[in-house]
Amino acid sequence: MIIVYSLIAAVILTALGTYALLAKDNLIKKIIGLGIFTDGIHLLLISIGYKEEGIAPIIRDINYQQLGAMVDPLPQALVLTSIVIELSITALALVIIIQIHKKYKTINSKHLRRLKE
Amino acid sequence: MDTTKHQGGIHQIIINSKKTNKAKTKNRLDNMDLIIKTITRVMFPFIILFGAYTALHGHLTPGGGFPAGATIATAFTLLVLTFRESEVEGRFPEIKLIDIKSIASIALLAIILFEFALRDIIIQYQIPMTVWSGGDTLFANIFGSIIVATGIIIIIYSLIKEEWKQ
Amino acid sequence: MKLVPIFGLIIFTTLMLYAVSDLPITHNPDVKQYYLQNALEKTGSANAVNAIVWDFRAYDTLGEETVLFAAVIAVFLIAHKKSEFKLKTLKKHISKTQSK
Repeated sequence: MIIVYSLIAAVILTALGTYALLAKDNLIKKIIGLGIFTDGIHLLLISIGYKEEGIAPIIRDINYQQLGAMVDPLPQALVLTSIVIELSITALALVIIIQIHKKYKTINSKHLRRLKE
Repeated sequence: MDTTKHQGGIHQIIINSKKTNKAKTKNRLDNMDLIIKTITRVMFPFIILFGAYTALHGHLTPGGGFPAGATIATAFTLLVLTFRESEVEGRFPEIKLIDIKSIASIALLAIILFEFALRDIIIQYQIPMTVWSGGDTLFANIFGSIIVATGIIIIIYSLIKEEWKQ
Repeated sequence: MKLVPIFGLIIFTTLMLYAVSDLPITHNPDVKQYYLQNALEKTGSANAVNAIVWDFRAYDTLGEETVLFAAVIAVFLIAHKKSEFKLKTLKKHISKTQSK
């Protein structure tokens, strides 16, 4: 039953991130929306590997037998890769926003009209 | 005469302290509080130690290359936020960090590309369930943690440098 | 007000709910069993997540490190202006490392 709540939370997080990406004009708020969206996707991926009363996928002895009680390690590894990609994207976007603020003195995306004219 | 001089001295000390207080509030980023500086100095090696533990035991306990690198970078972030960025960069210069990152990247590339051959050779000489185990993943953890730590430190240097110019 | 984002939000939420409700939660037991049983024998690593990241799917991780490296170099180059890039110090550094 707990997985239903987790999936609903993932849907809510992705919806909030999409709204922030579409509606907000501030570029920093857009980056925050992207972070919330990515967190929702991570929650969705992690909940696929959920198992009731599961334990961490770490083998304790050489003759360890309880392999069936462990959770799925594959989504955790994929999310671990995804987090670092998110970090690089966020850092690059923030540096570009700093340069935009230096040149145009604004971070409002509606005031950046140099390209249109 | 003596008492007036004394009072004047105290008065001047108070004025001077007010002046220094004003100077402190003007650029607060340059002069952090004494408590923050001391705690940072004490905590820095322990955070590095915990990051090294996370990297070296990544194949036995929860952890691994990425969390270890993030932990080490957190210690440097604390250092950069507390002291002046120029002082920190004098001891850990950016160009040397890029050198370390490049060397670790080449080592990781070699490890991963020849993993199928190296793995079976290394495992024969290792003892399972100890620190000296894990085949290639032990070395990959170490080099991966170095790559992630130097990368995050370079990103933080760049962001903070931009902030202080204005 | 902002009608277009709200409209897009409603469409996205309905599509996402429809997709999530049909999601197969029975995670593939074959892959999981393979990874858990062979982690200690083949790679020697007791941590199955670590074994997947650095051994079974190491090429994924290599590509991800490439992305991180490219992002860090891009951040370094964007954040430093041309005048502040200190070409002289860079040349000194290169000549030092070559002489060693």
